[in-house]
Amino acid sequence: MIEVRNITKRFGSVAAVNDLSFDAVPGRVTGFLGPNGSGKSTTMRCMLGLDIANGGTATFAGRAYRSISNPLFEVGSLLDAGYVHPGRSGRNHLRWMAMSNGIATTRVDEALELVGLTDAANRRVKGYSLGMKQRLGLAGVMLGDPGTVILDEPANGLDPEGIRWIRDILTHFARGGKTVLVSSHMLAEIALMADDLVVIGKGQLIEQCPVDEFVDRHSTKWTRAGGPDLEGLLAAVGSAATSVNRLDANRADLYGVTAAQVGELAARGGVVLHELATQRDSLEDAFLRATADMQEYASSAPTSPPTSPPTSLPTSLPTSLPTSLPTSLPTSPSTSSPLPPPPPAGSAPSQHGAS
Amino acid sequence: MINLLRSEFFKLRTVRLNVWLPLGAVLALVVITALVGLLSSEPELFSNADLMGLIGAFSILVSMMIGVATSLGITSEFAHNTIRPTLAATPNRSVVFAAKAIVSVLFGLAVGTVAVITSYLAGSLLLNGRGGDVALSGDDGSLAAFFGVIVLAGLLALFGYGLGLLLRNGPGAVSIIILWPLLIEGILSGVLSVAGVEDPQRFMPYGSAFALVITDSNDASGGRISGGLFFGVVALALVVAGIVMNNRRDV
Repeated sequence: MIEVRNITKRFGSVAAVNDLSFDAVPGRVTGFLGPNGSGKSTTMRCMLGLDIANGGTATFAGRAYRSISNPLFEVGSLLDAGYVHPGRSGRNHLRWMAMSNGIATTRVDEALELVGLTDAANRRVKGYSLGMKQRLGLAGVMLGDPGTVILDEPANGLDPEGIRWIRDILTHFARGGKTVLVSSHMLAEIALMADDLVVIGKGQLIEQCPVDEFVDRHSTKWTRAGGPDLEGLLAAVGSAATSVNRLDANRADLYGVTAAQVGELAARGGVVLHELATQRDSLEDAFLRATADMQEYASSAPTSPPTSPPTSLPTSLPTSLPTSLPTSLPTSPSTSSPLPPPPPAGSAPSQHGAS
Repeated sequence: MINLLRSEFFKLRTVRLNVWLPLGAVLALVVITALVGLLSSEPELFSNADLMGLIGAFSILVSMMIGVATSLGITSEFAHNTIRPTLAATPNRSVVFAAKAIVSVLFGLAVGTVAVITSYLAGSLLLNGRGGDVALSGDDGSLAAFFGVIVLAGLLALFGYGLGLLLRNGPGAVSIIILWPLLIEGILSGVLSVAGVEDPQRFMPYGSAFALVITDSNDASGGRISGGLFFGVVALALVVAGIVMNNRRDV
């Protein structure tokens, strides 16, 4: 359980974080969202005592981070994959971390295997791609099998396979009872992995709630319906829909009317339906709407008008793990990895700096 | 604390620069003493104090390189932001910085020991092999200078680390380590001398420390032990100031 209470951090006269409070609970992935410059990374650094907060507290299972003697066993954090000495090998980077907290060296090789970096472990980090550095950072997070995980933009630089892998890992962590706090700009990813959201803007809390609730609150809902006789369908719905957006010859988006109502009206009119679904804005749309007044660095470039209907998410976000995933973490370092197998680290030649 | 010391020592020795820089300096010292042993025209006239004096003088450069290595060790942590995972792994900053200081001193003492033993062995073996009669003795000050080389290496390691911790800037710290004795203390001594201060060199910590490696400590203005202590206090003060400052600042 992470409890952040009234954290304030100022840089000169600028309040990067202002009286921010939120919780992240065990067993759930909490997405930490905010526009650029909103104070997400600063908050995370304050939580770990790396930045000295001007006020407020952050506790992990009731304890301040600075009071934890061997934190790698309790809180695993990855704030930036670039926080590695380029001249040191990946294995040696993990070894000093492990030594500092009295973690067995054998666990280093296990962690490297978990993230798929075994083959590159003895190479110096300056030859790693960004994606490989992310994996190395995640290996560091896993070293002590902590109950709390804090990650800042963990999917940066990862290829689609790697993004999928990290999503599976984080949801797996949460299902295993860990507290997971993850910030990301990839809102589609957050939508797929997070259970709860903490949304901030200009250093202040905008909202904390479950993802579904956030999207519901900040999005529009409409009904998509389709069939061989679209004209008949529209006639059956009639004035129940406040507006209609024809998508093609057989489908239309209907506003101001629920899917249930459309279904009933179609049945009454004897119209055949091939498609009937509730649509709503994506998390991205909801986020942009919620943070519209909180954008620190808003672009002045004109945005192109939508040429297609609003992007949509399924009405129920996936909340369960892939069936192939195990449901518990290893309790002994000697057991084989139950985590989703990582995609090969060398399979990302397109990433920056790969060598 | 033991875990932390192991971790910090491991970090120090797993960056190539920290290995090659002192090793190169030690090698240079050995080569110089070996060349003197080989090329000395009258090895039988070459005294033990002469040999130790030679080693002592050149060991200052070795100690400077050790100071450069320890200063780069800490400044590179800030430059590459590895200080963040370091402090995330051990949140008690004072303990972390104190552990780094201890490891730096031990590193300096170890390199200083290797430097003085290998160079003395090279020089004495070659001189004695050519008819010389060189052996460590407490009478001529060579034994004190022998250990002084080791102590100076440890002190400069601490000085370099403290400077790096305080400045958090590699080029700045390295410049000061090299220029302090040559430039800063030279200018200060000159100014004090013009102002009428007698023997101003005794107020210069870096220069005073060189008394540690001089065979005839009477040549030094402040004496061997007081010179070492003076510099040691300055180095320790830098470390303490660095710890206090870094406890209050963001990393």
